[in-house]
Amino acid sequence: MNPRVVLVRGTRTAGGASAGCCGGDVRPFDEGGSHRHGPPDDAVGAVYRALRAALPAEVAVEVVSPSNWLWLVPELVRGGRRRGLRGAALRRSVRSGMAVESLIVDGAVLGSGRLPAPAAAVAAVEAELLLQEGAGSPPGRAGEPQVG
Amino acid sequence: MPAFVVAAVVGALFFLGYRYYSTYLAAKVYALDGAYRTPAHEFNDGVDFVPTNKHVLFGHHFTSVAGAAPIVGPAIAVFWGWGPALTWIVLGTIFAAGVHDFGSLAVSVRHKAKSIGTLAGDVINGRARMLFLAIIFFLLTLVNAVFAVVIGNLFVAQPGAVIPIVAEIPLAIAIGVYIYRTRSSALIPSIVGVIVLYALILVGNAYPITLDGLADALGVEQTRNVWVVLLFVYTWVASRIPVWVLLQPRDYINSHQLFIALGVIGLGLIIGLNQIQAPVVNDVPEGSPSFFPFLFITIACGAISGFHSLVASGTTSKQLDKETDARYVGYMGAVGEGSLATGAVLAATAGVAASQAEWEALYPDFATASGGAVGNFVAGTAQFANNIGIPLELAGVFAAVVVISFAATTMDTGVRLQRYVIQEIGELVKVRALARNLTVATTLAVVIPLAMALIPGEGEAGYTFGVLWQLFGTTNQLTAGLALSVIAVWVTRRGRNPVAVLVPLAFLLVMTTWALILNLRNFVEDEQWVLAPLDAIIFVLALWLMVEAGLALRAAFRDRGTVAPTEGGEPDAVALANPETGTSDRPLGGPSGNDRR
Repeated sequence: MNPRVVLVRGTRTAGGASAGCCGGDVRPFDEGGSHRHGPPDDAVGAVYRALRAALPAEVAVEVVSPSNWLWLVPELVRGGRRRGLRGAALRRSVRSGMAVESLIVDGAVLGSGRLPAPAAAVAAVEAELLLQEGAGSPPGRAGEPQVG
Repeated sequence: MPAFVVAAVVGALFFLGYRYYSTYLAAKVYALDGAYRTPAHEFNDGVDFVPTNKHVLFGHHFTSVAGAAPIVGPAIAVFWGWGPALTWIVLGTIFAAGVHDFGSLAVSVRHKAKSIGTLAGDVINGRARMLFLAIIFFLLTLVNAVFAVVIGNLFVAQPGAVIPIVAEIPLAIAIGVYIYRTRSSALIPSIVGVIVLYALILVGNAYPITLDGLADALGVEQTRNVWVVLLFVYTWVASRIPVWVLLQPRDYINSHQLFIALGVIGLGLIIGLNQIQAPVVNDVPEGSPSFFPFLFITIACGAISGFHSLVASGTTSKQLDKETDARYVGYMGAVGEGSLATGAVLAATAGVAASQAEWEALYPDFATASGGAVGNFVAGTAQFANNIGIPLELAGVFAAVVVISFAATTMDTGVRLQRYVIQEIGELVKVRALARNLTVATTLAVVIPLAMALIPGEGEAGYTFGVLWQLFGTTNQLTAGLALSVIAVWVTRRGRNPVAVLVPLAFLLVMTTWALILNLRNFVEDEQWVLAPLDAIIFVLALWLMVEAGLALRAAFRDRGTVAPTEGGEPDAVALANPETGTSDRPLGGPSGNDRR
């Protein structure tokens, strides 16, 4: 299975959802004139671009809304269990991974609540991927964010 | 007939539609190519353009299209019997909504993920942008008006829902501020929010709030109208505060409620084994609107909704990882909405009544049927909730809280979107106050639908709501017509067979114009001097759309002879000749671009 890095969007760019028909996440125009209503850039965009530039193509980098728990929770639980986490440690890991601006590599939560600078994020992800590749064992303390 | 059997048959038909018809569309009509470099990769910025896992993207797309609107239309349309309503939902979802939602995504992805409004301008000319703005303006005006009436009616019918719904506002703000300050997960706070919200149902039920006294003091005939005014005051404020403070946390709460409501309906159906009490085809009283054409504009969302093209081309297309994912995300989004509409039909035909006579008392004529439709859905859902052990009285408040939560969030977003449209129009007509002044734009966005919602009708369950809803359905179908025209031109220019797109397009345009003409005659006869001009304006927009679509299609067929059909994976001649066009595989204005001028 190819490695997967997940970035959880920040509070300002998480986007509206669930307003539904007829009020969902809509931007009727591309230009927006003097009243641009697209989401502003935030730390996630910068970290994403740095990761995408630094990592090989086979490493998937996903940007996910913090409200998308239907996808995020199983991803974090699966990743945590693969890394040997159980019980309270697994719960802590899932909770920290669900926070806004989280950085997750194959279920390992490297940053939670605030993303590191792009260069630090790239270094942390590369180190995590190297560790996984080399040892095949989970690095760091179980369930605790390691940077940020 | 047991409702769950009908649900199973509809589910099977949706499965067949997805399995076979969407595969046909993907291969033969839209010619999707797994190797095509999508705009998410081309312009990857980690903000708007992000290649996204298709399951993640489906979650975003579905929650952006599924809401209160597919509940209201079907709950009204069962007036003609559950057979016609369900047939239109099933056929519309498979052959119209699926084609439209999937096609909007496919065409946008092939054109730098541009929105359908911009694409319409590219297909036709600058006039199309104004046409699009006008249709969207009326769509949003009517959305905000009808949902204000829906909420007002529910507050009057279920006064126990007032406390939980009002309390949801500070609750959502508290969640938003907590997440913003602590930067923690929204999951636990929003689950706590839902629990508190549902606990407040007990309080609301014990202390129901009515505004009858205030309405009397103000000399307002209908209490609903006092609620409507208060709702627009609220949305004026709510639409101006940052999204993360109120709208986003409300969305977190709503996303739980969507799945809770679907679970309650599904589980209640299976456990209760409720029988459908409505007739397959209802023998409607003389003088009622006929189901041709009115059924097809009464159910817009749930059968086909132009609003979906705005979501598909506005945000979803910018995140599509592979072009082939468009089938899963776009077509399944339509199927999801059709499933919600099916649930609404079953609630309003099986859950709401224990016998056919009881059901007929709820749907004696079109005015009562349309005025009471949402209440009937609420009562039906309450019965399903009762099947799983929730006391009926509390279940009624629960169902009302779910519907009002969705409708109120739709209003929040609708007023915000309307402000953007007014600002856009302000820029086009060069009126600085409209384009730049938030207060002016927001006030206009609120005052116009408020006036619509307060049009005098025939009582609380009035005639006005039914026709307002039909006008909303009409503008929604016109938006779909505009999107289908863009898709049809694109498909034709690629040398593919456009019949799968042209059939729903022609059907929609015939039904909407037919209904507009009949309604115009009725409004003039009834001396409805607000609705008649509104209907006439929308009719002119429909004619305008037909002319522009016809001209664009004629040009597309003319150009078609000059190009070879595009196969999936085949390099496109126009794209190769025009590398500066980026991801566009074929200019929508035709090789010569003549019809853009």
